[in-house]
Amino acid sequence: MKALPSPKKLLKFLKWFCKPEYHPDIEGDLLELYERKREKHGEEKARWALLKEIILLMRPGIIRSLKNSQTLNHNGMYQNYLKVACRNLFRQKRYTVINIGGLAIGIACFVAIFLYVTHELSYDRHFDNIDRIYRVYTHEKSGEEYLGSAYYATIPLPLAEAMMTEFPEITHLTSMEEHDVLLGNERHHYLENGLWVDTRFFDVFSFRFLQGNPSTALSHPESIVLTRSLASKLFGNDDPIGKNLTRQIRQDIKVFTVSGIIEDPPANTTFRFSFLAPLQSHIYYRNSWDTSNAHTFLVLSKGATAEAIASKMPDLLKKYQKESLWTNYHQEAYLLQPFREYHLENQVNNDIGLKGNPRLVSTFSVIAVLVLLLACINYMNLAIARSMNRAREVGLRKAIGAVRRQLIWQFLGESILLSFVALLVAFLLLAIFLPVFAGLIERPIEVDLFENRLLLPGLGLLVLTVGLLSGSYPAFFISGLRPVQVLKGKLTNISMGRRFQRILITGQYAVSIVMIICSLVIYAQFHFMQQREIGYDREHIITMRLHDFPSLEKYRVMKSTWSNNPNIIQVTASGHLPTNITSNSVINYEEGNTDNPLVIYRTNITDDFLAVYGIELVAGKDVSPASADAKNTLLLNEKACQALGWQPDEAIGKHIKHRGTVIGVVKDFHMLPLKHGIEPLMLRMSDQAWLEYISVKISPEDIPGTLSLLESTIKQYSNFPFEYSFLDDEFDRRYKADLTMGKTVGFFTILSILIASIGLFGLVVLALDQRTREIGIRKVMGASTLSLVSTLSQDFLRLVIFGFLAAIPIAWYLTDWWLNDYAYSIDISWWMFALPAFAVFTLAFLTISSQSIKAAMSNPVECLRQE
Amino acid sequence: MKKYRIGEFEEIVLLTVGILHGNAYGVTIKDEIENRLSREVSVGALQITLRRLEKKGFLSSTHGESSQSRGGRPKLYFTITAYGKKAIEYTRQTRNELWDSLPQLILKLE
Repeated sequence: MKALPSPKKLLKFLKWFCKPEYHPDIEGDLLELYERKREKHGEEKARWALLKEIILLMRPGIIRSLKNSQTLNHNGMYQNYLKVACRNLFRQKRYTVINIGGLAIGIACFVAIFLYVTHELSYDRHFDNIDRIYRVYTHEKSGEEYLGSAYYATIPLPLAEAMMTEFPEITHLTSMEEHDVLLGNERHHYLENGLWVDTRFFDVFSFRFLQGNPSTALSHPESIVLTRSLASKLFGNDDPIGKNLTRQIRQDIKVFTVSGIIEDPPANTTFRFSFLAPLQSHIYYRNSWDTSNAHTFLVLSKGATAEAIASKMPDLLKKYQKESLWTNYHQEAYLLQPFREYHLENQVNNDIGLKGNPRLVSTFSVIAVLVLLLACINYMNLAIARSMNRAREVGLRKAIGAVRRQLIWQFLGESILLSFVALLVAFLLLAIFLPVFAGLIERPIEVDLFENRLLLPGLGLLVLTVGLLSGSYPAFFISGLRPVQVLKGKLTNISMGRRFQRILITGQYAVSIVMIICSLVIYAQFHFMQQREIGYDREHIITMRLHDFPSLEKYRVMKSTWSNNPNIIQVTASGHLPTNITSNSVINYEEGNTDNPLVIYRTNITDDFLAVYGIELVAGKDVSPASADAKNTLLLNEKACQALGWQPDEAIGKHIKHRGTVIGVVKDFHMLPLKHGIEPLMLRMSDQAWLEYISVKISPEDIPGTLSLLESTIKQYSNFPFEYSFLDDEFDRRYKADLTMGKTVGFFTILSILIASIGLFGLVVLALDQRTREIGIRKVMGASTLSLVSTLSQDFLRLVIFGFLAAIPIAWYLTDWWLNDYAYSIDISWWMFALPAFAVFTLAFLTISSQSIKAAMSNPVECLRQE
Repeated sequence: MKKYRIGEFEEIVLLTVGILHGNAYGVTIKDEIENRLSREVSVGALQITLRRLEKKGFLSSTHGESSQSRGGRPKLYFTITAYGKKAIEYTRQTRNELWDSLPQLILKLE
């Protein structure tokens, strides 16, 4: 055992913590006891006893207090600074709360958005070679658009192979598709999303293998690689390698053998998958120049450029050009895009993975900076205003010998300290506010202050700057005041600070008003899209997705089992829901010798499609299974007729090559989200395949009963999980991005108004404080309350009006840019500007008048008697 | 009642200081209590009680001589003030009153 420290050391420790006035005699007592004990029981025991006594002496009454250390330094002065600072804060509680709270809200917002933006920007950066990975995409030069874009993500598979063999700059290349399937063993079945990749996938994208070998894992066509979480879901603790799995796509069931386990991809991976399977075993696998279905990614060697590859593509095409329907019809340019830009890019059709929303990211970034700016301005404004009351203190300090340098440091230190307090409050706010925000934008965002190496130092720097800036005015200006003048009460005019403050307030209001107008327009647009007559019914329709695409016969059997239920009114099956018909193809109507190719959106339907959705027929008749030639009957919409140059009546009986005969024309309905316009549409009476959805018009009674009936029937025919939704929910989901945007912008707008209002409030209170005597004198001279209020308010309201004038052009430009994206948008009208202006003006007026009325009503004797 | 609020240990310390009459400083008080009441008293507990009693005005203290065995540190002698005397007398009196009003029966039952 280690020897105890000597009594000297122990007593030194006592001296350190004991109150100096108690120390000598206590030490004396202890020494006396120690000596006695040593004589009786020996050194060892005596030391233990001493230690015990000293430990028991560590109690509040005996431990010295911190402030009574009398040493020769400036601690006393610093203590006084701190004390005065605290007194100031407590004396003006309102300001302290407003000041710190405003800045804290701003910082909290900024950090939340910053975390979101960095999360979005961090996608896919974890792959090795991320700077050299590119993806191939195409541009349809004819300008023919699909969903508003002429860019497509896929190329024919042989073209990818040709690129690999012809271009030495490409070191690795892989092609893939994405599809969800039903995976299962004897115990469980799950609907899982997977990537169907070729064997070189792991050369391009680095994933960590827990079991298996990346170079051989997918070489067998019946092999499959699982992520760790899927493997444990399916097999529990058993070793999954070599185990069999069935996978079902539609009606097609195959057995796969697990050949590898990889670590789950990080949350910020754009690709979403839980397994990887060989591309050639994909149900739509086609190694043909005629179809374009390969998503191709490649790695370039160092020094090679994407432009060089793209410029060599036309020659490559010429060399490999065969008799190909695809390349004959499409005039495509093949382009390369850095993979690091992949996540935040949404111009290209058919991309796979969870894409980010670049509009949201950029809008949020702007908002973050604005809100932070507002909060900082506000903070500075209030800090400056508040410091004006402290001229007297400066005078006094100077009179008793303070040097200017000391005063500068006093004010700077105080304001920096306060801004750091705000930072702490911001973190508290963030803990409450972040889950709400994460829910709004549906991203898993957490406050991990240490994960992001830039965040903490960045915030520290920011807060330091805000503190320095807001402290610099009092520090450098007020510290320069002449003590005699100040103490005599002859305060020099501090108008310079005022003018600066006014500019800041005007700017603040301009920003707030812009934000209000923007969120109002976004909401109006959203409301407009919700309310617009879309051409089909949304109420009381249940839609069920059938992953196994039942045959027409099976569907008819299911339909007949429901036919005698009174709550099921009508039933239909179709390839798409009318909310989102995204398939298109090219039809060719030949009349005489002229070719009329037309890109047309299409889907398969069955009878009662029009009845369930309440879509109106303009000409001809509905499809029906009873008619003899039911197989090749078509419906067109008005737009398609128009595109083909027909009146609705003329279209009836026309025959379209490879497709069938037109028997009816339906009224135009919005078969795509309102961002896009109405396109030509062809509805084809189904013969067998491509029926992914069953839609049921139900009566509002006993919906749970109806649902369970539907479920039990579907379950009889399908292994897949029962998946249903109500059409109105489905419809709303199409506008979720807009709604999210509206909600978040609205949320930050409220914050910005709040910040601007408390800023104004603080300023008004201060200004009135400084003008109490003026008000008193005015009253004595006979000013009425009303005239006083208007005199006092005018000043501030003018600032708000200036802010509004500055906001108009900015808001106009921004909303115009936003609405341009929609095929159907509201018009910007005067009330969208007038309403926010009125609201802000009223709010400002209330803020100002609440204080100025109080000041004007006060008894003039009170304020004039002072001093 | 309100005037003298004295805890049990405080009362013991006050009385001991009285008993030691003139020779009451840290070590002797501690010894006296430990001997008479056979209970362990730590320097910390004793010191803080002494200071508290002094602050309340029941005790006063004077610095005594310093001796070699105490590392040259002075002794701090305590004496009871008049106010202190009143306090213990008051406590004794209230105790007696309480004892007197206790029915005999209860004592016998023990």
